[in-house]
Amino acid sequence: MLDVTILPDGTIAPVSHDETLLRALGRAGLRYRVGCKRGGCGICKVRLLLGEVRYERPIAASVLTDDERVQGICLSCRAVPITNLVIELQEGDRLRRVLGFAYQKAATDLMTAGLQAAGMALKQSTSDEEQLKGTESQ
Amino acid sequence: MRLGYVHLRVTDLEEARNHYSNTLGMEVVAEDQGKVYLKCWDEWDHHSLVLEEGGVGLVKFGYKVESDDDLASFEKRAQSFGATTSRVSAGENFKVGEAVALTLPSDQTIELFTDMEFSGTETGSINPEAWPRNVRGVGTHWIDHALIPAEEPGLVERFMTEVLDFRVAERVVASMENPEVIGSWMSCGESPHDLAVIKGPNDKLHHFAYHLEDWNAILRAGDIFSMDDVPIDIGPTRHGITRGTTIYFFDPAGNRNEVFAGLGYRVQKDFPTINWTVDHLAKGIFYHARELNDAFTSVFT
Repeated sequence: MLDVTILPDGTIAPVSHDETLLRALGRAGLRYRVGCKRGGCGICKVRLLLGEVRYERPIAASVLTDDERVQGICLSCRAVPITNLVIELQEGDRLRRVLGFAYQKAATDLMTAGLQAAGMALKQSTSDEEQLKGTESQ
Repeated sequence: MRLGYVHLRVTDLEEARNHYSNTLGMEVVAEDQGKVYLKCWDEWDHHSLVLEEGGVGLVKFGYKVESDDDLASFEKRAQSFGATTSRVSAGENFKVGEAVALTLPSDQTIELFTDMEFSGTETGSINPEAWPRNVRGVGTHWIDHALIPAEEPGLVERFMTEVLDFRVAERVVASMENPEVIGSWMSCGESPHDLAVIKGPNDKLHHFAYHLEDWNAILRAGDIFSMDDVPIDIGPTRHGITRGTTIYFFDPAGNRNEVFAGLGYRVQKDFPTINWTVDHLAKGIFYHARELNDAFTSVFT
């Protein structure tokens, strides 16, 4: 099991090697802006700050452009993690806890750990930037 | 005139085939040069859906018109309106006769044709049973209508009414004092809409819809979507506009589909157009929630 740290608030959610980011976040009771959930509309894009993903299906160039890929924009409904990830939601979007009653305690713990991990990750990401750009696989 | 077929791009042909065939219950009637052709059990022409692998979104709509004279007349009127038209030879579209391709003011392509190979409904035309026993999944009856976005919905409304004789059943305007068209539901028969247009980006698809028998069939379709992990956009609910009952959902490539039931009323020749003001748009679209979800105005393919 891997984990994904979601900025700006630093929440951490577990994600397995064979599930999409969207599914993992949904399973953890977290919600953000999504559309068709099938790679067709591009509404659920996030910025990948650290880590590697692969795409479980081909993504149409009209949905995710080459420029966006280079900038680390990632389509969360189709992206499956290869490594631990740090992602940032789109400007104006925020993470909502729709299963707060079920995950309340865990969410608080995760958040503290998340902030620390995100801080570390961001420090690291400066030096890893070149590597990151080269590693987003399809 | 009626909607004859929808030609769609999908990212994975096999996944799309499974969705349209096993989940929705259409029959795969042919495969030719990388395209898959399907029809619903209650449809009588060769196909109503063409799937093509690569990308996502609409290739074109086909509308069936009655005669070659109609074809020539619509072509001429489209040219007078200022639209780009071209002739498509018979056979260029598999099993379809000669066609006239038109580009809408919002850049989607529609093709008018008179002839498609006849194959008959599943229940036939002589002493038919009420429905076929071997129907799979949702068991959609026929492709009923489509909704497209347009930067200028009012211009598309003008095109459809002035060139193709559609009539406006319902319309969303900025206000009754400022009747700028935000959306328009247009009929080319007696059903409340055959094509609808709403403000949004040009050259995109919002959804196309399948007719189901009634509200029970809509509920059952929703159950099947859960069983098959089909993402539901919204529903089961009712539209204020058209009074139809509905579920919006997505195919495996992210194209939006709808199952739609209930002929709310008949758009007869003297039907008085219903106007909605934009402050009531949300209730017009989703009569129960009375608010639009994010996706309705942002998800197009």
